[in-house]
Amino acid sequence: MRKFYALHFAVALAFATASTGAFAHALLDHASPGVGSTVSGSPREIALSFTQNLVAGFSGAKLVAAGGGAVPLGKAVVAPGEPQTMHLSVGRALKPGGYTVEWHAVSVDTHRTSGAYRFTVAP
Amino acid sequence: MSSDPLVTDALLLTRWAHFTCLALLFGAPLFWLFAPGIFRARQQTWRMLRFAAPLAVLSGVGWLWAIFANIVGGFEATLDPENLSLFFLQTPFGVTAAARLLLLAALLVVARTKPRFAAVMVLAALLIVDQAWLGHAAEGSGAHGALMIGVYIVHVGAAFAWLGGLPPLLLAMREARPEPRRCVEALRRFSIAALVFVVLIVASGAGNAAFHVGAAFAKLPHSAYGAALAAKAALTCAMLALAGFNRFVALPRLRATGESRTLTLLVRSIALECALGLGVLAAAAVLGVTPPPQ
Repeated sequence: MRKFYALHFAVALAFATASTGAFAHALLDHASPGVGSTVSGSPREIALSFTQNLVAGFSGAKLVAAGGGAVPLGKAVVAPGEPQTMHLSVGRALKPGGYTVEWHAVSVDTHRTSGAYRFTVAP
Repeated sequence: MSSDPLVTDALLLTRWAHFTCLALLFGAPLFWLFAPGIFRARQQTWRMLRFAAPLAVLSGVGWLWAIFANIVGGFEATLDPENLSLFFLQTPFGVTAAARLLLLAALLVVARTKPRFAAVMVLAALLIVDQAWLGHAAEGSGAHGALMIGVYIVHVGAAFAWLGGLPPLLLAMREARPEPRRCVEALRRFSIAALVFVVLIVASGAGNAAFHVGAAFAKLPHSAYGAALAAKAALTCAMLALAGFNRFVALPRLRATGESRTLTLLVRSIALECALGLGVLAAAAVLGVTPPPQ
């Protein structure tokens, strides 16, 4: 019986060591423009990097100005070399002010997550 | 979990129902591969499988639909042909979903013919392999991802083999009531097989937990994922305690005395194991839609 427990302990330890990190469900890791940041000049694209590989067809974002007006964004593009990042082109130059990025992401394990963050374009 | 409660409820219910049907469709035929003797319970098991197969198809299609609804943000959006095309043709899980639909259709056909335990078991095994790409296990890539998939398949396969073997065992035990010693050999062989399944379940379960929780282990007790995992572990421990009682207390007593009272006790114990097994599958359904702590 001791051998049985020793084997289980060894297996659990091996798995714990092999596990480099927990993901499951794509969460926003970092973004450009950054979360809560202030940028000078209008960004040409929004880049959102997640903790998991994305499915481009079902991932995307909306950009909303502080006054409530929506800014057109392109479809999400996920480059093969960067499977955890979606790039969205900004449809027009952004005027100075606050903006909210409302994102949704579908990861390769079929789970959908969503969230929002703000950034500011400096005058 | 989905922001739409209807989608979340559908995901949970269909996963639970589907897992229950698949456990039966995989574990029950496997039981009759190593259970000796001629029992009417074998025919009863086939009738049970014929009933479980269409339920597996219904719950399987429902589960895929709920996954699709979760991805597109609600059931209404699932009716959009563009979304359907995207899902099946431009996602890594589209092929998995299509293969699953084909396997479910084959299961429906096979279960309508004469008893074919091996064919049902093989189809259920393929469905177990297929579902590894429809959840948390599919999040990895490369060798690490392949290991996650492999560990998931071992875990679910061993769990379904154990849980699905209990109902036919129960039927065989009930049938042996007039002559209790008749079922001793079946119970002994199932106990040996169950021990192998349990070792695989515990080892692969530890692996799964390590993959999904990893460095965030300290956050586990305060998370919904941790609560579901604890419930699953507690229910499994209760099942193990009953299995231990059956193997090490009741079985030797039955072999020595042949008492019908002992057999009645065993039947109740196995029935309780089945009920606890449903709880384990419910906890597994919850874990699949709950984000692990990060």
